[in-house]
Amino acid sequence: MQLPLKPDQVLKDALDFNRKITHGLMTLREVGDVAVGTAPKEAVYREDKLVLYRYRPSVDKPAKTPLLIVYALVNRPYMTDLQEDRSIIRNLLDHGEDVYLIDWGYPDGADRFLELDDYINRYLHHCVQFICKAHGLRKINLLGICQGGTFSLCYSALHPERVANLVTMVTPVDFHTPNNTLSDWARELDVDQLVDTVGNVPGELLNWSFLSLKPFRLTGQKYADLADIMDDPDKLRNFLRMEKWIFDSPDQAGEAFRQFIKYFYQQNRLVTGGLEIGGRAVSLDQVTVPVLNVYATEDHLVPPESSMALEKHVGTRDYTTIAFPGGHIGIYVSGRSQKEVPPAIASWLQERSR
Amino acid sequence: MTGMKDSADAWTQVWMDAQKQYLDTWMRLSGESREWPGTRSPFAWGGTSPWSEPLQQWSRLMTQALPRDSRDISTRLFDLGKSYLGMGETFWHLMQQAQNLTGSTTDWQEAMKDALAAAGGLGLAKEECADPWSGLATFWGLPLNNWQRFACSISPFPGEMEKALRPDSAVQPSDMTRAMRQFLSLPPVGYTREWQEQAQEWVQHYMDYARTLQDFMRLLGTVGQRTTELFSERLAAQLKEGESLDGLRAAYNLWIDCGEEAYAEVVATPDFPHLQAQMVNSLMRLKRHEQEMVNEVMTALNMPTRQEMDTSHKRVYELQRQMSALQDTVEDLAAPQEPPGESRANREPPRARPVKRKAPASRKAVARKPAAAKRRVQPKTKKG
Repeated sequence: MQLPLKPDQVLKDALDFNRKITHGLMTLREVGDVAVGTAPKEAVYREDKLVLYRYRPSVDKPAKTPLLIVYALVNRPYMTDLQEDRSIIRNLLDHGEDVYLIDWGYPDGADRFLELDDYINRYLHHCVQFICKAHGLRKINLLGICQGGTFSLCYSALHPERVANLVTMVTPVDFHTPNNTLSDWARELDVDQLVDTVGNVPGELLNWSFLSLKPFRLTGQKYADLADIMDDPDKLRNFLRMEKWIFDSPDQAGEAFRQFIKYFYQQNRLVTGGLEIGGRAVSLDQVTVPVLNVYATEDHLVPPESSMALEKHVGTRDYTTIAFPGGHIGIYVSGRSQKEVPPAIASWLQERSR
Repeated sequence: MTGMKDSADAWTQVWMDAQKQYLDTWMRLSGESREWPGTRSPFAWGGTSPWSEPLQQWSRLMTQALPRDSRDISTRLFDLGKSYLGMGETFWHLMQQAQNLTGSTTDWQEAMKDALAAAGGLGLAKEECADPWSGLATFWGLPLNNWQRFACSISPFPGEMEKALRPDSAVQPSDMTRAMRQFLSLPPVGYTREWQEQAQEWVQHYMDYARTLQDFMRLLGTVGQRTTELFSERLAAQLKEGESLDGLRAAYNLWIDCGEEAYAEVVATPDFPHLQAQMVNSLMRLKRHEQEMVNEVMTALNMPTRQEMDTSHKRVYELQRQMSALQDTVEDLAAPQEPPGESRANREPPRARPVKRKAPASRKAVARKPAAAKRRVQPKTKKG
């Protein structure tokens, strides 16, 4: 009778795996700690735990209108500049953009009462004001990523006089589209009780949710694949950088988390209406600046449909989409993304600055 | 540190040599006895595992010599390595049983299902399956381990307590559960009755949490069962086509695919988000009650409480907001007035939205040109 595997093959493969781990750990010891965020930058503005960075332009005459990158509160913004050859920021700089980035920092107990109003109308607004003042401009370009894209949409609705063009990347807009697993999981969560109890929401709790989306792959197969590349120090360093980012999850300021889960995940107010931030109504109709919406077709965290919904609701007459064939992480770091996404963003912005 | 490095290097070499020698010896003995592939498991010679135990010991030594960023990864790798070896052992037994079967593929499939069920799934030792944490902690346990760590980190009680509350069987409560139920049935009397009531309430919350956790675990348990079914079906289908697996790694990848498929089926049921939310909510109820009890004790000792800290933080926060709003107002007043033309443009109400074409996912990421995307609308002036 035909066997699916030969017993001696099983034994050889098991031994081979053990050998790979053994050798790999020696390489792991040799590569040491890894560095992330490689593009030269300077801290130009600070407020509480927020730091605004300006990246050193890589062309003689960068774009006159700077581009401010607004990253999510969840995870750290160095994903946009993970390493030299996987850096959206470096690519944008090389294509002539003058790039700023907000680092929201790691909230602690003293930040527990920060609301969405603080993040959008205070921190983000102050960064925009700072850049406008520094460049003698009335408005700048925004690039919002993931939750930062949602924030940027809200900001553009509330402060249209400050935004020249808006780019959103893998941004959730409609939180109630089918197959939005995270949204399904958040529906019955008693977020009031959660925040009242723990104050700031631990990053470990969010990590648990993200890993639970694909547990077999993210907690098993990924490390089996690692065993195959461990003898290559460069590949191992790439893996370590990504791993560092995945588990580098800041705690979430309690009140802002409460509002984000309630208003967006549970009540879907950005699409159904009734969203107020800082006592002011926010509607996507109010977003009248040119919008470029970049989404990933294989995104398991922000389903493409959730991002694509922007087209139906946004008020602008100048709306463009880019469908990137990849996932939520691949859109930042894959080789294809590096070649296609930043040049497309820079080109779209430059067309509108002529 | 250098000593530790040298020691790890020496151990590594010894261990690698031992593994090679072990494989060579086993292959030679199997050949000599003409009982291919051998009647005794190479994974558990003499009742102990000759690989996973030295691996564990070696990993303890090695981890200390690793850079800080790499220690967690090495732990995850060793956990995976242990599972992988467990999987190898399960497969080795399966192949041994299968070679004695002379019937059809269906016979083989049934034998495999039985063997997998007996092992509790690939990579699981039978005795470990009685403990859902240890079972799940093999192939896809990290999220659940994370949950356990999170639950422990916000509770003054150790994670072991949850284990003690698990029923010995579906109908048989554990000793701990029985003791808790007895405590709940005591009437609150005397000077300490209020404290007793609070303690009883805490016990009730703890039992609620333990129950929802077990319900969630039970639901996840169906994933393992379904994974086994899918795995044996896929494998049988491959055999029917005359294909075999290209090594243990191919079997592992197939297992992962089946696992994700089975998990996705369970996640799509209404029970999953419901039980998961209940698990979080019940833990928070428990934690909230603990906080209230601790606050009372701290107040009685005239010590600061979290509630007082929160009040102070809130006052500082509100003052900061007021200050920030005042600064913004001052800056706005100091700023030059905007030109009237620009002001009008900015205040222009949103115009009626044009009909927009759908944006299909292209094979290549190419920005749709505004002119093409908005063919039916008037061109928009860029600086209105």
